[in-house]
Amino acid sequence: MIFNLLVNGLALGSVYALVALGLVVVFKGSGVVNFAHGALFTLAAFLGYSLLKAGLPYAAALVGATLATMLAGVAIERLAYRPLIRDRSALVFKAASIACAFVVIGLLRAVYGQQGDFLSYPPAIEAGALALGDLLIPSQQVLVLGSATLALVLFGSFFRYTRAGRIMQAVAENPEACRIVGVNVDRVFMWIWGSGALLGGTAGVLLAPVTMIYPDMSLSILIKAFAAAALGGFDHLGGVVLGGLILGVLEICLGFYVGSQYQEIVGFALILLVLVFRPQGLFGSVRVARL
Amino acid sequence: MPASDSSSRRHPGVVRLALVGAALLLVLASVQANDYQLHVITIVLVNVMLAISLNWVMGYLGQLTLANAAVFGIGAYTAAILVSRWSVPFPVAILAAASAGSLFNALVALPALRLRGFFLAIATLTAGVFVHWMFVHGGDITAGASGLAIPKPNFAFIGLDASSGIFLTTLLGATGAIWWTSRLVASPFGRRSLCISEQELIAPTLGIDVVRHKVKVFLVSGAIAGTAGSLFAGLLGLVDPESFNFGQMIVQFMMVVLGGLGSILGSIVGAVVVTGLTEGLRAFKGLHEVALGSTLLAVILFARRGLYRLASSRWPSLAEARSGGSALGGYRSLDIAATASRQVASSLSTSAQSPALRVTQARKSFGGLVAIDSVSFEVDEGSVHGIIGPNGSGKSTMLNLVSGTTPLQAGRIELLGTDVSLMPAHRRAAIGVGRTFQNLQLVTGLTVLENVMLGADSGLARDDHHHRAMSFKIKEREAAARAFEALEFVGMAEFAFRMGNELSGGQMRLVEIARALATRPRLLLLDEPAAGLSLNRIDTVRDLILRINRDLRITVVLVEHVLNLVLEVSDRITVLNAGRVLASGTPQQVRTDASVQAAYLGRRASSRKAVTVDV
Amino acid sequence: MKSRFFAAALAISAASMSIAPAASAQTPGVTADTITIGQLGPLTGANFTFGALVMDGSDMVFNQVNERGGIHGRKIKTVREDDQCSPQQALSAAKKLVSDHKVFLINGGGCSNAALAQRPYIEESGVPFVVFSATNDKITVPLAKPIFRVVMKASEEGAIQARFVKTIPTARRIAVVSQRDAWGVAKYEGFMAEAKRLGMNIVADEEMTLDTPDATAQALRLVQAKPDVVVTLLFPKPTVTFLRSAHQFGLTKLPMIGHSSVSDLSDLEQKLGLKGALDNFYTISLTKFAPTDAAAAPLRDSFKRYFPNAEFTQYAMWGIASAEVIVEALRRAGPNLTRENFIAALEQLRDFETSVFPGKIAFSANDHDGNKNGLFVRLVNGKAVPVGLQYQ
Repeated sequence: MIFNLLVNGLALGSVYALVALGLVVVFKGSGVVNFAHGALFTLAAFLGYSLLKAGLPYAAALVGATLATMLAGVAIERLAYRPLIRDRSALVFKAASIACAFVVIGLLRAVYGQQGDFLSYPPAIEAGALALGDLLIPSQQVLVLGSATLALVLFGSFFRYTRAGRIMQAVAENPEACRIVGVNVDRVFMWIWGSGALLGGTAGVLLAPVTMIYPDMSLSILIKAFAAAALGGFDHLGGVVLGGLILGVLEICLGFYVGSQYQEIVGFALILLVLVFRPQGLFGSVRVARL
Repeated sequence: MPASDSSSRRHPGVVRLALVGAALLLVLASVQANDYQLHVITIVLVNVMLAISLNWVMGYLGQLTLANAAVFGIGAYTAAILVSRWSVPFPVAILAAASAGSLFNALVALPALRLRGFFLAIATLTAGVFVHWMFVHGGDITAGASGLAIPKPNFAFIGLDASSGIFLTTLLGATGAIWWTSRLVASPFGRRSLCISEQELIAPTLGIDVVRHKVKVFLVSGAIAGTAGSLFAGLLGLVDPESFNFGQMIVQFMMVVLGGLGSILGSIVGAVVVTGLTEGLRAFKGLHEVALGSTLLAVILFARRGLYRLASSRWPSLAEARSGGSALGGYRSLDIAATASRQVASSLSTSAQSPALRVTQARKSFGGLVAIDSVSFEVDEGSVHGIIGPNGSGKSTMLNLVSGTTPLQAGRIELLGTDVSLMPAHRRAAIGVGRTFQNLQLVTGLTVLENVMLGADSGLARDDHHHRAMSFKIKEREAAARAFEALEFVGMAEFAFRMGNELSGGQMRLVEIARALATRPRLLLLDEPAAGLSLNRIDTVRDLILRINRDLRITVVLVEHVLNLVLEVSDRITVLNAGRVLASGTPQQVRTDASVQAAYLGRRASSRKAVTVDV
Repeated sequence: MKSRFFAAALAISAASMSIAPAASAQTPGVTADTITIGQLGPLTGANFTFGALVMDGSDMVFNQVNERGGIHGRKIKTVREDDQCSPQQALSAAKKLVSDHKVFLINGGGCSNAALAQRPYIEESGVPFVVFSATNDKITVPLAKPIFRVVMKASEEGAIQARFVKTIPTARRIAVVSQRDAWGVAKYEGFMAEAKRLGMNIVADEEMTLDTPDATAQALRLVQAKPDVVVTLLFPKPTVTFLRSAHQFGLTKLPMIGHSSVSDLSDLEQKLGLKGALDNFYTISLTKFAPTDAAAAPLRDSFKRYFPNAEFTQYAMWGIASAEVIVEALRRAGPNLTRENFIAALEQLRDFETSVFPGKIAFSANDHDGNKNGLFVRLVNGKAVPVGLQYQ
């Protein structure tokens, strides 16, 4: 029993980790929290649905949806972030990102809403299970966990070992210095936002077959992303991944051991606890927390 | 004389406009609006209150809060529970709702007040969802998800039916909220909120206890939203969790951003527009969300300050009145000639035995870097003391340690005879220390006069201990008067009614000094006042420093790069290098000190040419 | 100065408001040749299926009536208002229909919370309100003179579910999974009350919300409790989420009971995408056949005449029933149509057969819930097959 709880929790948590990672990549890179991140996640899920309906094979549909979402992320950077940098007001940017989220969700609702209050993906693989000894892990879970891990590892290596990744890290640390050295900082910002959206979108297409898709899922996933990022530390990429995994496992385990009615508030409780006792999270720097 | 034409073009007052509007509404309603129309008007009024409440935190404090729907709900549920379960009379329930909303809002903000803005946003978002969960799972108390029904309040005693009665009460509530807010905005409370919003770092040096002030703003905001909640409950006769969910929060958010952050009329415009759009766009079958969202985005991108501000920049007569205008009008009728003597009188130092500033073995490090190491020096009362040193020597850090902006790690600092080593910055201001900052701007949301009034407010708060009897009006007049005097002293009086961002860098610097002077300090800390100024301006600054010291008898500590300025005005100079005192003495002594020459000037003696030396 | 002005304005207007003119004596919404019927429910938003789609069905019936000459020479005119399932909007929309559009009666009520918010106003204004979707008990209980309900109320459905469970021979340990929002709580309480009365042993009582992404915890808790039967009181989306986890842990081998909001079993199967997961799933259908059945062809064809591009759904069928009830009562009220005699006509309706419900509609002076008949169905080879009220 506990094995199932852990595996399902990790699978769920790995998706949370992906979403949170996207959020933190953008934060570390451009210094702002993108409140439209949940909307991007939802957008990917719906686009994937449409592509699947149009007859594309599963993998192609997912990749297509994710790439399209990446473009959407870049569009938001162009539309809402770039023009507002001059303003230097964090509040105005948050407001703009919330407005973007609203527009995206509204569009999704207008386009897909008439088809019912939620849509469902055909399952990726036939229901079956992987057997490990006498423990069974359903294939859907395996797929989610596997894909999410793969995505995280790929992204981690990209960030750390490729030149582009290192440039992104440098810009995140000190954009001015990079500008002086001749890096096209504006273009790198685009990449940063695109990566954030890519991660969020990947999470969206991975989770969609499990949870069904509906326009309002963006809010709950956004809160989960915040919880994971707060727990891990807003400026620590590895920490955020761990935060997501912990959140997923906690949700499922607490729901089982304490009571299912508390499942939905695990995320919120976590955020509040972290804020009160250790605002920098497990691995974040104190700098990110203070003014 | 100040340019009075700009102020006379503006409307007499927001409050009057609101009251006229209120009267008009009353007349309209009394001409038998049908049920539906009365209902919609009442909803608009509730939304106005919500917009004003949210505007306090988002507009005046500049922070994103996403808990306002929850506060609204707390107010509504409080009133509903009291009326339906304990038959509490409606007016009492309204008061209870205001208090509940107020307290809840402050509570939510507390954990995140010292943290960065987005933590507040996340914390409030979380709190909002939490509260929603509580409403749903509140069992017998909140009647859970089906909602709690409340009997309609009884207005028979004034001969009105429930709908008209609720409408009138809501109208009173909205007008009250408008009046209270406009009162607070044109007061130290409002000015300080904007200061914290734009320049939080300097706020403590103006005597502002930032955390406490933020809590107060949340209290005010919560009271208004809570009241709105109780009125909403009375209007609908039912409170249910879904009326206070995140969707509601977005509506409130939209009203404030659309109408204009930091503007009362903007909030009203936003409330009317959004309510109208919601009612009117229902026909558009689902595209209303997109329409609203895109409008919002467009407003943020192109009319950043909101629709109302857009309108008022085109038609200035619509602009809200600024504080100080009418207060100053009252002052101008007094004798202006007494200015100089007034200032001198209140700045006279008492016969002080102790030095104005004594620093003993101060130490401060940032992580591994030691910025200040065993620094000691004294500043005599009534003198001008310069602090110089190469880049990275720790000059600014030293000033920050004295003003309290940076906390001291070891050693002792005594200001005007009091040991302030552990005292937070806003309390040091109350002792009589004023300062200016490098590189910081004025508050753009305030006029120049209001910016300086921030300083006057601080000085008055200190003096207030001695004469508590001053009424609000008199205090405002006095603050405006002191601010104006300070502006006259630095020669910037003609810019009194310009907005904070309409000045050049040099002009802003002078206004900053005026702001510090308005606090009626005994010790003034100046942080590189001449940085980046032209030769002409440097002379102005030099003369100003000398006048401050001689005419106003204020002790000045001056951190500067422009050597000649320091050498000319200072009585004594302390030279810092790599966080330590390199030399100390009269300008002549320092100039000829070999180690100073080596570290700072190169081997040549300084010439008489006024040159800005940047090492 | 300002305050005096304000006080004066306040006094004048308060005085003028209290001298209200008397209400007009003529019946609103009725003229010599038209009857205006307001339709109130969610037209947009997540729950539009419980509003817009139902109204489409009603409109079909009204159009047919008009084509045949109307009722006592009056044609029916309808006007729709959107309440988006929000109580605040609901009250606005209701007031708009009554005071602006001046409708004679209202056909609507898509969501429980909205309808609950509207109830006091409806009662006060005396506008007859026929509820077609909202199931919360408190909408009609305690009795509100103008409010009648054509859809089965929540506690009724819950009780029917409990009685069905009782007929399952192996049912000794019962597990319940429910939503505790306004909709779910009414069904839950109805079920639990009847279950207690029948002496059932509830061994697990789990909760889910609309947003719950994963039901592993719920499913495992159920497994731990070793139930014989699982009762689900969930909207379609959480039902799918729950069934997926339930299937993972073998719970779908047990008899599972659903209810009317999950009545489209083939749609459920398609969304679930798991072979065999619905083999033992029994759910209540409010209608006597599915919209895709052969038996539904005449209705389907009529519907397509007026809505060629829309799909003929269960929801439309509910709307057909509610409209048929309204039309019948209008007919019985006679040519001298007033709200009072319309209400009286409804109260005297007994044994009224609609085209879509399995049982007959009956109202009385102290019971305004006309529908107490559900029908259980299950999927056999991809088609919904009626099962009656006893487990088979």
